[in-house]
Amino acid sequence: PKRTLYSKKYGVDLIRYTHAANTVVYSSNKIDDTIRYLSLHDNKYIRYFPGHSKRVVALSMSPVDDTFISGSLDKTIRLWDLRSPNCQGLMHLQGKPVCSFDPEGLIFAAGVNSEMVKLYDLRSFDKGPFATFKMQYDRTCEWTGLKFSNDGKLILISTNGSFIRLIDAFKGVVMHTFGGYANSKAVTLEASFTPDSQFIMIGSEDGKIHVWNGESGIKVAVLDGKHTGPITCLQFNPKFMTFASACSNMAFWLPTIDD
Amino acid sequence: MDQEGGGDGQKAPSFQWRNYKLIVDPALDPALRRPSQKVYRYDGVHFSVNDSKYIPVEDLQDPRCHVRSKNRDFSLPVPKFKLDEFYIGQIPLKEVTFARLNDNVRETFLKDMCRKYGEVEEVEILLHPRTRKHLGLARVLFTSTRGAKETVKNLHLTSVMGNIIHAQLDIKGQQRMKYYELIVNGSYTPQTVPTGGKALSEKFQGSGAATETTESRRRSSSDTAAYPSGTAVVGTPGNGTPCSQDT
Repeated sequence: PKRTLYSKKYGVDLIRYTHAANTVVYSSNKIDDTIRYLSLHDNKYIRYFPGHSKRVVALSMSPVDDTFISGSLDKTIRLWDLRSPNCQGLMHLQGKPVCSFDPEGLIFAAGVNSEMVKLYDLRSFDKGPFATFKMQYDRTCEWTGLKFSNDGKLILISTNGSFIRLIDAFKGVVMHTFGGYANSKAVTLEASFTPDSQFIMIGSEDGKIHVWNGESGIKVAVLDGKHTGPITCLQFNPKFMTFASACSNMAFWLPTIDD
Repeated sequence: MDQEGGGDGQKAPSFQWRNYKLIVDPALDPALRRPSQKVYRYDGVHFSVNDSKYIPVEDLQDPRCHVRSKNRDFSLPVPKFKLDEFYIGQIPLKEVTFARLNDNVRETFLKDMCRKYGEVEEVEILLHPRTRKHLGLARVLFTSTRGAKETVKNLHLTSVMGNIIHAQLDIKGQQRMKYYELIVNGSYTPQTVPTGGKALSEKFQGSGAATETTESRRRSSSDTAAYPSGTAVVGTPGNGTPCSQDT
């Protein structure tokens, strides 16, 4: 680790890197629900984005420009531009949202109340979504995240239960539901795509990583990284053949050939 | 509901609205020609400013291009990890320490000699810091543990340039450090440096690495077709070859 920066007064919850070097936006979990834009280099705040009245539970940077979206327990999604303190857009929804941009930065998807996925066009989101996919509502768990695959064809919905769903990003059809991993304490586990969009992985609460083939739906591997706790973060490196998993320790993975 | 659009002199809209989009943001205006007002569009239809140049949104359509290119073959380079002081995992045994080398042995010679056992990543011949004399010590870092194992298996106690050399797997180069100190402080010469257990146990502070005997390998695959069902465990080299934990 290079450095540790503290945000003791406001707390830190979700952090996202921006496109500029060494800056991040993050949501606070104390005092207020303002999103903060921080320069890591000099540890100074560049801007604040106030507006949400309850905890921010989703934060996603646009892949193509300086806008980002935030979803909050106040049942709204707000759109922001890093360069301006003014909120660029606001949407009221029926329930708790999770949101994410698509890889082209043209649309964003919002998972609402753990039962619907709405797709919004960035040019006209105030009019409403151009598509709504209703999903099977599961009372046993909640949606905790939404991710697009790199090829834009699939959306992965992660939950705090023991299954995740893969849906078609254009038609909303459920392609697969992946389960079979442990999550008895409703921990928010992160599920991820591999950069070629072919495989889906999730870490379970026992420290093992389950990998499925996205097309066939078959589980292809269970990787043991000797994690001592639930794997709350799991992301594949977009440029190199490696991925990182973290519980309270962080592990970097490499492919190995039989020695 | 907070007063959106009401902060800078504009009236808050009197109708019920659900969503808005900020169409004109003075903070984003690059030229700053004149202090422009914020213009909001509510629900795709109503504008906060009465101006005919703002037209409501037409029908909503999916802006994405449906046909995307087929999955291109991804070839992601495999990174090489550097093990620093924050590393807390098991250290892969990829480094070999040579001792009692003939002083005509140079980097290229060593590299060629080791190349047949595995790809060599780094080679370093240790020289005396002041006299620059050959200490008979070298460090060879392989890209795989197999290369290191094979090298030790085949070269240990073999004659190279007339000298019987000593080759061993060395975690973090600890053995090598011991030999280096012993030769440099004058206790021993390059050909008499003790490679047996005595030199090791004298100064060893019982580091945890000395008791490592197995190594578990992790597998990560995203492009290859066949998958292993779990992790594989690689054992240490056979009994005849020395490891750094020999005493």
